[in-house]
Amino acid sequence: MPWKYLLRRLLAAIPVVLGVSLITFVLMHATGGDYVPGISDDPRLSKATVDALRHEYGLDQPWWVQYGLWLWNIVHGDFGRSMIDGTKVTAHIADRLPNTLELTLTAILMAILISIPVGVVSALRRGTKVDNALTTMSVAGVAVPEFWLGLMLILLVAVIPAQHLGAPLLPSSGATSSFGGGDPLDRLAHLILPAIVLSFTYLSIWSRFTRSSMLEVLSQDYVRTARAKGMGERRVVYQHALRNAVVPLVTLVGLELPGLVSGGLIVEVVFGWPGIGRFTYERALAFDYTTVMGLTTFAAALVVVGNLVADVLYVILDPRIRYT
Amino acid sequence: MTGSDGRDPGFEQFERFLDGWSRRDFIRRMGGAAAFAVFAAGGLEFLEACGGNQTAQSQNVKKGGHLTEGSLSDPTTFNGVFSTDTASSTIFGMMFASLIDLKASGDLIPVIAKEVPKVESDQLTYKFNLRQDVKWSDGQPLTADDVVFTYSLMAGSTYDYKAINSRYWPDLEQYLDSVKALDKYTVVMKTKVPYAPFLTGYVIPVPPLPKHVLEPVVQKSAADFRKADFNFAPTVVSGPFMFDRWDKSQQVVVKANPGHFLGRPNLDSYVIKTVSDGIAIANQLKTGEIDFGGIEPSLWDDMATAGNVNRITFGAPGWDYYAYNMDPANARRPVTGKIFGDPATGKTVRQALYYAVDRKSLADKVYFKQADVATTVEPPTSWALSTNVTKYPYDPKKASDMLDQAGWKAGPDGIRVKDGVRLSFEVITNVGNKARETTIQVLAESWKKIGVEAQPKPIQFTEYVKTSTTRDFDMVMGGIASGVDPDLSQIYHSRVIGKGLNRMGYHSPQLDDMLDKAVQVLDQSKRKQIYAQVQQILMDDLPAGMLVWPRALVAVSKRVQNFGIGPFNRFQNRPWLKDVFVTDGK
Amino acid sequence: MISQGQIAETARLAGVLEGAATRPAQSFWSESWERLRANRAGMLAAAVIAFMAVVALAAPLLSALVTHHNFHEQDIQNNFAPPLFPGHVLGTDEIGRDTLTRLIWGAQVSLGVGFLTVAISVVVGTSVGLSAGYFGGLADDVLMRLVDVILSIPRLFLFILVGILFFRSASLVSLSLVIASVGWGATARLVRGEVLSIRNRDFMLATRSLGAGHLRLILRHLLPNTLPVLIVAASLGVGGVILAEAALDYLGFGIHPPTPSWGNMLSNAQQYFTHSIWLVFLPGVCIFITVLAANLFGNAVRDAFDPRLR
Repeated sequence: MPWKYLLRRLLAAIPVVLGVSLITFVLMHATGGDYVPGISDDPRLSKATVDALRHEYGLDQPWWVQYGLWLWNIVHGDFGRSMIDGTKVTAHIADRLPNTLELTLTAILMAILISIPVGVVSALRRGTKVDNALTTMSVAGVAVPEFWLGLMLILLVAVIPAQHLGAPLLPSSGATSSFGGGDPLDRLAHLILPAIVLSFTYLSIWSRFTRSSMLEVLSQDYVRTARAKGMGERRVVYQHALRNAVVPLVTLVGLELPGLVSGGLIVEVVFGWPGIGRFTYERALAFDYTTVMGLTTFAAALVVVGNLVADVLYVILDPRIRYT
Repeated sequence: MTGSDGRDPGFEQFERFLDGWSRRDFIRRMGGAAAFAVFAAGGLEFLEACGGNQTAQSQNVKKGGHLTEGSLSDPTTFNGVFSTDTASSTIFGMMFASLIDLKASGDLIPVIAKEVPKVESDQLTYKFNLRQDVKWSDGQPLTADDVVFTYSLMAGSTYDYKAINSRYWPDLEQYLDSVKALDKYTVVMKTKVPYAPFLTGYVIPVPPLPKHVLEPVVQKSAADFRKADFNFAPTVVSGPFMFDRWDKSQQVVVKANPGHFLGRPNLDSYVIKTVSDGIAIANQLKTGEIDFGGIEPSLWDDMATAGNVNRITFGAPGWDYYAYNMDPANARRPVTGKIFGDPATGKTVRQALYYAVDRKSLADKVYFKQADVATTVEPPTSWALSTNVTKYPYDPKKASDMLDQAGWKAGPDGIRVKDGVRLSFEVITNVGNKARETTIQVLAESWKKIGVEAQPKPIQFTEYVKTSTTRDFDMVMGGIASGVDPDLSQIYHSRVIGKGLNRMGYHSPQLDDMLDKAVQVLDQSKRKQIYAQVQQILMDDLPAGMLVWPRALVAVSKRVQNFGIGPFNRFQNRPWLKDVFVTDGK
Repeated sequence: MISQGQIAETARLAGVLEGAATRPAQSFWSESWERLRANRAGMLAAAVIAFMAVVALAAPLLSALVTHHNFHEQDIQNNFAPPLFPGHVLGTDEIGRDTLTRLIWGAQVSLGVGFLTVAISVVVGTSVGLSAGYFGGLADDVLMRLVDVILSIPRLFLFILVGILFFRSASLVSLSLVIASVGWGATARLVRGEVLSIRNRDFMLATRSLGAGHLRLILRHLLPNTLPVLIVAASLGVGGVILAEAALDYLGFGIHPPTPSWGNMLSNAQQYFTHSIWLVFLPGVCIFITVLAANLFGNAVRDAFDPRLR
């Protein structure tokens, strides 16, 4: 285990988190204006009350003191409070993070499970109609706006069947049925459509990547050697080539790990999925700056952690890599 | 993308259930042929729709099951003392019974009180005889003490009501004299002056809270009371439903309260599900994921094709309008303040712009015929509606002439100029309400044709709401939902400039006087005369241009019966809720 | 994958050794250009983009001379007119505005945001990447930390956060700035990577020993070698930006009506889907074709620079 490398990466991560917190803090204060968590712009509050509240939240201090306080809180796991109703950001995160992870991890899994066979088939049948068709679909897939794809799928799979068959094929919103649901099957049914839409973008890119990776591996010397030795084509492909072609895909997947928390925002909004992305969006609409700030810092911190994890995985999986 | 019924949570925020002095048949009392036609059309459809459901009387009532309602906004609190939006009030209305309530038609009915009190001869005192069989869900009896406690949170000397900061304390400070318990089941409320909107404005929307649970909480800290857990997860209730759970951003679930004094409701549960926008509501009604929701005008015709829902429409108490910044002393927007508020020419400009709007087209095209042209400042459901006001038929030529006369001549770029000032301004409205976003563009284009430059700017709802206090706007376009009482003080009285809805900065001593008089007179026919004058003044001065009266558009699943939704029974007030049942019992 | 650096090295060596040609005198660039020209799909894609760009630039002209409408003109009595309606070739929207005109002006916004954002990202990102890669040391550390910070903030979260700041005044330029605020980071990393692999090559050492100053080295030698990577990234980037702009319109943080953008036309028309499907279909098709073309062109350019993996 290259401990020194990892330690260095860890140390490098700290200024990043600091930088993120500073940027979000500055942006939030750029909105100008005074904010008081819990009560915003209520004209009926007397000046004395407002001043007392400002003092309580440390808003009468110079900005660098406020930033220090903010940072101190972050380190202690307190990401702030909503300025609309005073609720803790960490409570909101705890409520919704599992839902987001459920969605994004499923989407990534789906994308991996589909893009590997598609990429391999494309590579093996390079230049044929099958290859062209699959490649075209991949390229086309990236050109469709995500929200539109979601809305169309809802129409096709839920609304139209409901009108003609009496019931939707799959539910169109939420993580569970609003009543009587909650069992794994119900959750699964609700998960399918949003996961499909979310995996679509990954799919298109990863299948093409698997294809080119597979092509590269197939042209390597050791594959030629294996063939020359008389090994059956199937064994060549599935036992040797495939394994090596898939490894680089891990890097790509690793690139997506950081986006685990926020990548699903649009899908969450379209499908009413109760995750962090949609929540951030709703709070932004309410101009709840403090909550959005806390959520953004949290998400960024997760990204940094995700990158570290990806680095670790990468190092474990490919011992050739060393930080030079 | 917020909004609680396809329109806008804003009007719910300023919803006022104003007094309707006990009326028998308010259709008869409706003045004005136009208003009558409007309401009758709505009323007929409403009755028809309900008639379809109403065969339930002979049908077998099924017990059990649930009903899911789609709402565009998340609730914020379940305490009637604080709530300002309809998502919240709908839910706490299910959990907490009020002393008196409203029927769909706007008539008052007793609930916890044995009968609707008539004001005593001093015109100030209201005596409530409470039922003796009302119990909280934990078994404790609901008594006069609970009522007194609830009002002490908003007025009086027991608690620091300003720190608690309920939504009603400014008004109660002005109008409420005292709330006393004569004995265990009798409450006497006294106003400082005769105040017509008292019952509908300050009794109906404020259900009694359990003193035995909340007294210790508020004694600990008045300022923190609004954050108390009880407000977000009530443990003890008096209404037909009790709190089950709140999955934030997803839904609130309430379940049947078996000990409800009027009998256990037929339904086992009621779910209020948060849905992202009007399109999602329509979709989910079609798929059966929700059973009830408000429909956008643009989707109304399409909902007719859905075989599993009934559409219900009725004249709603409310209006869509645009309002001018007409205060020359408005520090944030002095330019438009002077344009619209100039003592000599302001009125001409305001009227001219109103003449240039084709409201019929708006109602037909932008509201898809699901709205009527607004002719006055009172809503179509109001008994005080008057047709004896200035009329403004669509006349762009006249508008143009009026502006010329006022000294606004066309400049080099086609936009009118006067003393170096261009007749140019921003029109704001809240994002999420499609009909309104489209309306401001129609307004802009209509005014462009007469040389006035209006830039449409949709803004977020909370920003929009803030303009009522900051008054940082040139022109807003929005909607109001009013209640039963015709009182308009919250909107046009000068004392609420920067506090209530008088963001225009409109100040007419004559009107102030009339508004004050009108609420202090309890005789309805006298009030009606005063309101007729009020309407004349407002439709002449035109601090705000009334655009259309949008109809309420909702759809209910066919499996739901006895869902008695109506003009005044949409949100908090649903006395028929316990009788609702679903045909499949699920 | 053979990096472009190696091929470039061959070309550069040929240049430095002025005339001592060891292979036919065809430079890397003209070879690539020929490969690109031969790629029919790529050239078709380029034509599509060029066409859209021309339409976008000529919007005022087309509006006045061809369609005879402008984008905010309302004909409310003829709203929801279907395509081939007299006077409105592609029909009208909910308040009678001509769809074709709005699509043309929408091209200006969508493509404008696309190109401007990429331009900003490229300029800023390249400057940062070149400086970091070339100067190394502290400058590199600091700049790359900054890039890490920017790239750590989830894209959409940053858009939303900045979006609520710009909300009241969202314009083509402000929107481009918002989206570019994330994009430059990726470009910077890319460029830095290229610079790192090039800067220690023989020709660089040679040129430096000849006494060339920093600026000359960066601009005349490093920059041209990073161009292939940049061009590919830029072409592929335009498509992504157009999609991001559409997503922001759906969320409500993008361009507001009456200014048309394909994204806001698409979002706005969702509610009219059941009776006026062309209002949804047409802007959707425009987005799809343009993004597809941008992606195909980007792929074609990449293949032209490095044909091994066709």
